[in-house]
Amino acid sequence: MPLAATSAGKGQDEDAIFASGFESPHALPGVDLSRHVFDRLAYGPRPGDLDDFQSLAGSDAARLSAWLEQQLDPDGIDDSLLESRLAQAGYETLDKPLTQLWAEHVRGALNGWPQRYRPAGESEAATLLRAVYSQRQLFERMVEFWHAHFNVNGWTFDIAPVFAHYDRDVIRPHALGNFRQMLEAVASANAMLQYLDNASSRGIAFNENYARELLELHTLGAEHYFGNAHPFDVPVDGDNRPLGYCDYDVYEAARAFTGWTIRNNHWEYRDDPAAQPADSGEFMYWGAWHDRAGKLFMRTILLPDQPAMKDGRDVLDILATHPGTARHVCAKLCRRLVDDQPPQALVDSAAAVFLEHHQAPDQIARVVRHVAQSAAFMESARNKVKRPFEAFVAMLRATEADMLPAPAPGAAWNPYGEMASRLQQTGNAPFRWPAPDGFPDTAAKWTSVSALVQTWRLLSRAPQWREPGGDDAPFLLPVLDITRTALPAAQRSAVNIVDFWVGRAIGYTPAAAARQQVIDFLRQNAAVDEALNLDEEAWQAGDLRRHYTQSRLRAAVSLVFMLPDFHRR
Amino acid sequence: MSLSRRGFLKACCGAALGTTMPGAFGFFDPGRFKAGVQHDVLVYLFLRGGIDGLHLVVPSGGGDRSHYEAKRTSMAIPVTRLRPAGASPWGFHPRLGGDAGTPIGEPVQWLHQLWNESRLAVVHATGLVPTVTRSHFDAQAYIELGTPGLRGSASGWMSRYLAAGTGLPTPIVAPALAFASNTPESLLGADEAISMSSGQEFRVDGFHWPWNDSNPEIAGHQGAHTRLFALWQGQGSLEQAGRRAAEAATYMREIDFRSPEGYIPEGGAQYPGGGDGQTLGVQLRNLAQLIKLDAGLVCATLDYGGWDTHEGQGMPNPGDPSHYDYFGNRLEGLSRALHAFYRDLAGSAMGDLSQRVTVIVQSEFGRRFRPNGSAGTDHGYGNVMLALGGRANGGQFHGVFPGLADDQLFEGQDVLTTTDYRQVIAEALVDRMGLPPSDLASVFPGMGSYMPRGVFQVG
Repeated sequence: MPLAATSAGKGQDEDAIFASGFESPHALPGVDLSRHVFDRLAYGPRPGDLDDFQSLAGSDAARLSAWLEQQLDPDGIDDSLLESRLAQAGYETLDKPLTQLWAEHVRGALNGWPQRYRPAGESEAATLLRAVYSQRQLFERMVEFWHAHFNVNGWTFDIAPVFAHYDRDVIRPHALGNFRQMLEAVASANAMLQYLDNASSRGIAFNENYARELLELHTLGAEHYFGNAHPFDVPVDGDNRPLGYCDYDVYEAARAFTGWTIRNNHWEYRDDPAAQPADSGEFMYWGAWHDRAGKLFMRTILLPDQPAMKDGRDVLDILATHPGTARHVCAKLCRRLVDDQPPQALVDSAAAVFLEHHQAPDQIARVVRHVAQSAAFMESARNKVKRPFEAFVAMLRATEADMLPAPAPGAAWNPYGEMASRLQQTGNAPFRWPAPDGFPDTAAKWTSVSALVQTWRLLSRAPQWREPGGDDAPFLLPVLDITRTALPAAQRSAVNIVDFWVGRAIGYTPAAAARQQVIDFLRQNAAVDEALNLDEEAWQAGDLRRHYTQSRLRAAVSLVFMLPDFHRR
Repeated sequence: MSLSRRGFLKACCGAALGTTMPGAFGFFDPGRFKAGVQHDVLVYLFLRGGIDGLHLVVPSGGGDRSHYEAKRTSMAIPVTRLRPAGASPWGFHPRLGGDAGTPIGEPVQWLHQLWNESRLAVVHATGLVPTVTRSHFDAQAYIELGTPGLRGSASGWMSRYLAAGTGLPTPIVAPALAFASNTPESLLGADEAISMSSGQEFRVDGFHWPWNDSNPEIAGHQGAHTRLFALWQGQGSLEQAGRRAAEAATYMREIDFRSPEGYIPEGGAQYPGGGDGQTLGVQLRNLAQLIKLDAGLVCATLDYGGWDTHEGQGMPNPGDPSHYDYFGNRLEGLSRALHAFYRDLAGSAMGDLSQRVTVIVQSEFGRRFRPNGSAGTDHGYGNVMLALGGRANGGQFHGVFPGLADDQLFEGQDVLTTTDYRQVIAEALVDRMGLPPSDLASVFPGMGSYMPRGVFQVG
């Protein structure tokens, strides 16, 4: 049997950030708060980001506080750089309302390969753009978190054509908002109703798929699952509230959600005047499919014949205010932002904030602020491993990538098809996790041989991509130009070049032997302090320091981003 | 790290520096496989999502057939659409032994053919004992960790076998291989396991060509990828993981996984060139190639998912090639791919390698006896397991089928579990993998008495 829930402790000092000793708890040399913040709460620093952070205020605590207040109000942040990129990229499906996606990409002329999948492909491309260029970094981080929490597989025949709706109208509006509202938005979302089959769940023989994952993944979590225990054998807390759920509660929740469906022209209602329009793809509560009888869910009786949707909403209310849900969701958030094994005290104090503000429109922002200002967060620098997507985006940001990802497959060759393919091989491409539990979030899962090799394969390639337009088109990652600008010709020794890129990628000096490997690769037979001629890009087999030097520079920069310290965050 | 792996890396670096390397197959030693090594290669294939065992192995006679028709209602497969499993009161889903256009009565193919050749065995009503869970993620974790009811284990059952196993070969690269992007739970804690999603794409190959591969024509020239191993020195767990990855990538880089350029399947094996079994087929082909290289591989895991059929599970209509059947398409892919793998090994010029390879197929749970209202089935309990190999006691059913009457069902709704899945794996470990029964307690703590079902042959 699963263990009973632990007690929801309170009393953590929410102002731990201001406690004495806060300014110096870094485990590794030179990891200052600005880099920690940008590694954890953003997708890594772009040039200038760390200086901007430093100029926010006079102390670390005040700087973090000021940065959080900016980031937790994303609408107040000018994001014109990103917006112009999005406009330039010319995505065609991201602004289409659900009804239009349904009419065109499910029912209409665009429902064949590859147009049917374009909404998912453009969502993935836009996600990459936002991660790289948006100033609303913390918001994008939270969007990623909630996509994993409420995971659907975006790349399936049924969901790909409506995925732009799920990202834009279901996840993003609530990413820093209210959990209960988000829960209902997800429960009534076309993508989720299809993914977990609730769209076809009817009173006569309910489909339990959604209800089970609602309890196990979206709210209480498997740690509050009591298996096939009798519902009255599930232990209760002091308020006579069950500490968790059992199979019986899954079945009752499934009955509560019967009739929550989508307008997909089902023969049972398509000719009924009350069900018009019958084929718009929108959410519909269809009372004829609802199980009208009373229900007993987690010791609460839902009376027979409640008003439309009330059974389901009662279930969501019970779950959204349950301490087990608060702990489960907050544990995942702390795992994302702080540590693979977050301190229980932090989880409990975050859960207390979650519950206290369960009706607040900025409930989630409050929890994020609490976690980001905790002492545990301050002490957690570099104890997480970057997932492949994080490593890739951090490299793109540090190398000032200039790109406009097109959704694969494109009509003509472009580098973005290969980019998407290599990212996919890492197992961490956006919206491609097949199971409802979402991307894992522990080092053990992302330091497999496959994940590391495929990440290196991606990073080894990134500096070689050129924009569409042939062999003379500019590189997406202007590694050569940046190096030339940073170092005058006389100072372009292998040591100086490597140290410059180590500064961008890592921010402190890595293990000496590893650094030396990259230096030795870059210099070949040149003396340690000898400047390399970065104008050379030709066959010089007799003098390797002159052999395809520009290609070697790009390969050396890739190697810098393959150093273990870059893969910590 | 073992000596032979160091030796291998030395050989690789030697090659990179321009000395003679005996080609990709330099460590190929066909004699070693036949002589001396007292274990099989164990292949563990997980059908993620919970395959509906009652849709795969279907009662075709007796009292259970009556219960089946009464309660499976619209999703009961008619007897006339099943391919009989010999003279037993069971039939197989027709796509186990033929494509959609093959009517009943035609000679059977693929896995059904291997059943007829006594190479495929079925174990009835297996699953988690005593823990009952209808959660995918709990059930998968419990099964792969080998600790029903406990998710906190730091190691999987396969890792513990590798730790306990005696007489295992010294691996050139790694004793266990997972075809997956992320480490599966069964290999959790096995530091020497490697994972890859496919052989062909498992290489750090992105550097610009002048500095990608080492060029033996140029003195002192080394491709950038040769620096990777040295970048990941250090004692941290991340650094150790990086060295494993670099080592595996270095080893695999020497192997041409393409077919037919680098590997020609033997025994007339036809790995699926398309359809549902294509990816699994490529993985099994890569695995057969690695087994024949005899690099010391002991265990391998693969996934073949898509069985969570809450909706539109599909019904067979053998003989009608245009009939769409989701379950049947998945099943045909599985059947074709495993059959090709078996033939590839059995027909090897090295000898009948199927005698030294054992495949176990399982899923996290079976599905509800009564269908739901979506032409699908919800999560259930007991389920079939499959065993395949030259030393499996095939062509027969093992274990005890508990029956489908109301009072025989678990909680009135699911097939009961009568065989702890651990007993089946334990039997493979003891009879095929050389594990002393006294060591079973370390692989499956809390399993209780070892009770072999006779699924495998000894020796």
